Amino acid sequence: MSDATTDATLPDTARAARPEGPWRVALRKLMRDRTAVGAIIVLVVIILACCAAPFYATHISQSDPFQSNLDGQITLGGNSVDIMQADTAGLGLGVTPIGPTWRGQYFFGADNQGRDVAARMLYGGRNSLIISFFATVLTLVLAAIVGTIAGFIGGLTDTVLARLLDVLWAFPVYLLAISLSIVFISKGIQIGPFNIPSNSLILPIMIIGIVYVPYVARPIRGQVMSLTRSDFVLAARCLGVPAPRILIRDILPNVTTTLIVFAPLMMALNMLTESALSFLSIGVQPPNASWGTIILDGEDLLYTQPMVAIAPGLAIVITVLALNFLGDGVRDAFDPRAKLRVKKD
Amino acid sequence: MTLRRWLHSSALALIAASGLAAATAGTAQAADHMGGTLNLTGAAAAGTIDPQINYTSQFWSVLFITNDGLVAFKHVSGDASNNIVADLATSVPAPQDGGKTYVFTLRKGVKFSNGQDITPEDVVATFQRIFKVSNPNAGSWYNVIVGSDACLKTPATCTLAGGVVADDAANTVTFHLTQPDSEFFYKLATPFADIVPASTPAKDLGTTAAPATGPYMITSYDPQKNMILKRNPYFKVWNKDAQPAGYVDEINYTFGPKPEDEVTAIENGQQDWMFDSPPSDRLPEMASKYPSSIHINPLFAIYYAPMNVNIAPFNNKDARLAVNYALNRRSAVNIYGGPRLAVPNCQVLPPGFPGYTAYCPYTKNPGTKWSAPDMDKAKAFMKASGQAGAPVTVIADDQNVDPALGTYLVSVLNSLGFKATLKVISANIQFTYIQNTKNNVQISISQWYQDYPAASDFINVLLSCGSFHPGSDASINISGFCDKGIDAEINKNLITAVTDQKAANAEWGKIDHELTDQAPWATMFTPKQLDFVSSRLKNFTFSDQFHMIYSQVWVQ
Repeated sequence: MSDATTDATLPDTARAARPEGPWRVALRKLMRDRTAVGAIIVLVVIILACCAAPFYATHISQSDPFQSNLDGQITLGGNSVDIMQADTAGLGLGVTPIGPTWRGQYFFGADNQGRDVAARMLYGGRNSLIISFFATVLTLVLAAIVGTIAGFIGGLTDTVLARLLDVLWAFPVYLLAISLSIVFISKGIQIGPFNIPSNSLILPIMIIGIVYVPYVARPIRGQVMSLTRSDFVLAARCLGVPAPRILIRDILPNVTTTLIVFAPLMMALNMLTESALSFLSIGVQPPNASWGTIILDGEDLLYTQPMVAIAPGLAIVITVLALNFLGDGVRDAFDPRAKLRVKKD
Repeated sequence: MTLRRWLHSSALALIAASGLAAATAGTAQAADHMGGTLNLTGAAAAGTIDPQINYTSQFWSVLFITNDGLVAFKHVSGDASNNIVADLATSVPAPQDGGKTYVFTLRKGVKFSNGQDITPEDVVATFQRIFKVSNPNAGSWYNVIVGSDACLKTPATCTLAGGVVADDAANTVTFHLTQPDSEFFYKLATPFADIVPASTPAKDLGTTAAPATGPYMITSYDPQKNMILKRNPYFKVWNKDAQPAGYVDEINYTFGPKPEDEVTAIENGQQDWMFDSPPSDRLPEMASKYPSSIHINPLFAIYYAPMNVNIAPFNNKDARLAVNYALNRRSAVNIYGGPRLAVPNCQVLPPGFPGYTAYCPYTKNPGTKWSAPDMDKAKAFMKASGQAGAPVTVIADDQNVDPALGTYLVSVLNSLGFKATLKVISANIQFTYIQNTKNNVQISISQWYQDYPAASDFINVLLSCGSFHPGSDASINISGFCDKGIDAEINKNLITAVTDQKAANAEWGKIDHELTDQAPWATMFTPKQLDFVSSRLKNFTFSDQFHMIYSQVWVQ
């Protein structure tokens, strides 16, 4: 008998009294959290803006953000202005890129290749978001598999997997990420007929996704071990329910909430790691951009055009803050103790 | 004595006295500036300080004041710094046997910093050591010495028998060459030929300094930290043109700070000079606030993009020509710091160098000067090459303007239709990486600074068949360019230069143009040297060969 049939046969009063599902409660609680809602709005704006990068580059910036434009000019206030401006004072040394115009073209100014920083930021943001999102998915999937297998099967399997996680955990995460990046970025990865070139975004996704697996897998393993010993799982086992069914019906739904709580926090962490690797030239490879590579471009312009480094830095701060606020909101929404507080309200 | 003669004699005496007084005053003034510590800084050290191995401009400047060869480049500013003078030898010998024999008489009383006298055996051992330690240019510079063939085959047992002969009684050393070499004195004047004691181990000295002969000796060297130079207690001036006394008592060369920090340290008076090029974003500030601390001097050097002529896509001449026509050399100059700091260049030789005659086919309105890229021609050659869509990786090092030049080159290549990406690798390995054919480098960013003032130092060293060594890290012909016809011209002209330098230079100019037409490189520009010094550093002396002469500046 389906739930729908059951609902249809219930009287209205009984239907009204039926408790809400945990997902609906969590969503309701999340929507009540103003900070989390604000974070969602900020993230949506950032994602939409980054998705609109090609439109911005073509119609507003009117420049190719991946092509150097060292000899170009733009019109400002009716005057033609060099994008790279030679210093005319004193000894006349140095050529400085144009600063923020606060208009469509070169809104945040140009970098040392004469490229529109605002347009590059949108493209770069797209890469930063893609890498941090898919690295998070990879981390969570791998962590869920490893943590669940270790916690559910136990015994030798748990010992081996747990020690492997310990070994991975023992490496400082940035050191491990940098080491892997240096190895793989130099020549890419060749696995049989499959080749991942060194400039592919898949490389930073894989590297970042893997180094954070222990951070999620260990708590998942602990949770699964605890669930495995819980009364309802013991009861299911006594009733002769097969292990895979227990895993799918009883364990995984409980683990999923933990993974959801981890997701935004991991994404924030992954974004910072991606930016750090790209800043060190071992993440996203030029001429492609990410917020980290744009900060690196701006490093040489800190004295003359600090906005080249400040703008992507601010974008990272805002996105990471929004993800952290969202993570806090999600955690509160899925926390059983928080549920009590909501009822009290 | 008549009145007239008396007046004449008196006048001469007066002139002599005033000259003497001026000289004495000059000496006294110079003496006033003796002492103090000169603080130098660089982002990184330049490896070994073994004079027979190190091949970097950074440490050649140091070895220039610590060690000596039989002859030396004059320690002065300007064009005269290209002149050869006698150093440990009493004079620059005249060639004998049609330019195949040179007899050097050693100065007496010159000692190493360990107190040992310099003997003819030390000279012989030094030249054997050049081969024993596999000097980078042993096979290209010193292979004219009799016996060098055997030394190149089995370096460990190198004797140079019959090639370098000592005569203790006469205190002479005789060099026998297999053929005349017009650049032999230049090669003897570089640090590779600095004389070291015969007891010096035949292996890389690494961070241990060879005993010095110059006014300073390296007392400690830690590549991660610093290098300290102090006065050599055994040094006495024997020829001030070859090795003058130094002003400062000590030199402290610190390694590690980034160029940004180096500029700030100099502005604050914590450092006196920086090896690295100042970051471009600091140039306007430096120029406006500290104009008197900036010294700009021409360099005989080039920034260029060598293209591998043996692998796709640049084994296709049309593809190479397309890159040359598309390259906006003004943009490259702007990346380097603007027109005050670099000059666009299309050819192999830098402006002003022996043999140079201006030539630029890769520009709108071809002629002697680059004016603008010719994209129409570039695209036509690109189409003819059939290489559109070919993947290309540009290899640049991670120092100074090289990553920015690499990014720009990627942009140029993509605008032509290649699928170009940039790979930035550590400056510690990039130079050898791009030389080794095993790495299949297609195009890279590189620079070449003169070793000595002869056109062959660019043409023969960088583009002859003899400089191409497949599979080796020491294959300075990065393009792998080898044209038998041009190579024959080069070899012929090396012989011509022995007897007729003027004719040889004219011929070098012709060969330069032929090589430029073959387009094994895309030459970008010739840089100038910008030295940024502290306000207390005075008497700035710039040699064309070794740049700022540390021994000739003073800090008090």
